[in-house]
Amino acid sequence: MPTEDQPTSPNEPTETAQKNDPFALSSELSLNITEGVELITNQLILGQNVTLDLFGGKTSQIPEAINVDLIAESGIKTSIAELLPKLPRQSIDQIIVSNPLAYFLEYAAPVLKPGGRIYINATKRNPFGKLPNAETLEQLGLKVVQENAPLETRFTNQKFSRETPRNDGTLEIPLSSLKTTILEKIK
Amino acid sequence: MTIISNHFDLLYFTNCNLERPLIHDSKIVIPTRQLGLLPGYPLNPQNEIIFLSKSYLIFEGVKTSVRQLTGYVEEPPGSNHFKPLEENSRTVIDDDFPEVAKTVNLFGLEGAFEDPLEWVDWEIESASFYLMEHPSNDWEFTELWIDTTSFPLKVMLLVRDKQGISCVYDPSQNDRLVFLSFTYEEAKLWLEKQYKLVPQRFPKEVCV
Repeated sequence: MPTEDQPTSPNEPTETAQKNDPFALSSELSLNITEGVELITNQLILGQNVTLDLFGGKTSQIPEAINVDLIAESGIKTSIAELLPKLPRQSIDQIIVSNPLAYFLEYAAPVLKPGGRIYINATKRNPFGKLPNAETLEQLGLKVVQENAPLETRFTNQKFSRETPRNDGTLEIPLSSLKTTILEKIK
Repeated sequence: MTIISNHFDLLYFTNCNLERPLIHDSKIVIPTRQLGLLPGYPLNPQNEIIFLSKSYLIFEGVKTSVRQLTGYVEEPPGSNHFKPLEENSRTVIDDDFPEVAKTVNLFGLEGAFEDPLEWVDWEIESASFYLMEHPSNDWEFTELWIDTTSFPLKVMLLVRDKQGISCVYDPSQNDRLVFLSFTYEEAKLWLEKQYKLVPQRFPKEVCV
């Protein structure tokens, strides 16, 4: 899963201040599931496009995306299975999935807007990155735009990392081992 | 020891650490750590992924084995952050496998080798696949085998479990597994090429 240590700005609003003003909730902070739903709902009310980065690691490397990960230090710290069913159906513009570690498609498909896309960036051998059969995809209202193509150029500046075998550092996964699958919501 | 056949699609390799494979005749055994088991895998009763601390991937009736290996450089030095040297990746083809009469399937796996640090993308065509959990405490007996031609004498341990699965460990390499067989006879034959059996068997009930 991607990881990138980014320094936090000393000028960021405090969590307390943000709680006083729900519209000020920021995806730069680590939010719980309630705050996360509130953040997304607020963005939708304001007519903003919403991009989710599922399994984005500690910090999402996708500009403007809201990170959703159990280890999120910025974004929403929760599981996909818990968060996505709480979001309005057909409300999310784009979902990026960064080397998934759990099943997500059945939760992601219902919240995606018609015409919205899911970008699955996963290693060749990641079973969570594999597509279900055609019948399941049809039930989810998804069509395959591309499957297991080389990593999209817009993601090649991302780092997909894991722990070293001795658990004393990080190891970047070669980009040549990563593939991009794109799905589009058709109904 | 628990052995599970098939269910390869329910294994998660990305966080897996691989050790050097044991290749013998048409069999490849790959010792692994941190292998992920997806929900639905026979050894995983949970509804989320779990990881095995130690296990062995066993491919029998191997026809082909192709490894794409990518080395690493620590950058910056001393940071414990390792970047792949993609331009220097190399392909290792294991050959000399005996002819396989059975139908083979393609198995793809990935992970990291520790020493030297390398990322591997590995494709193996074989007739069958098994996963063996790290040998547990259900062993039946242990034998000592010695190579009398070297000094000091080189020792091997043959441990057979109650199902007949026989593992040969090398104490000089921190008890590394050096041979694995589903039968005692095959392990015995392998050892007899270089080692002699110490005429004393150590049954578990005597040792424990």
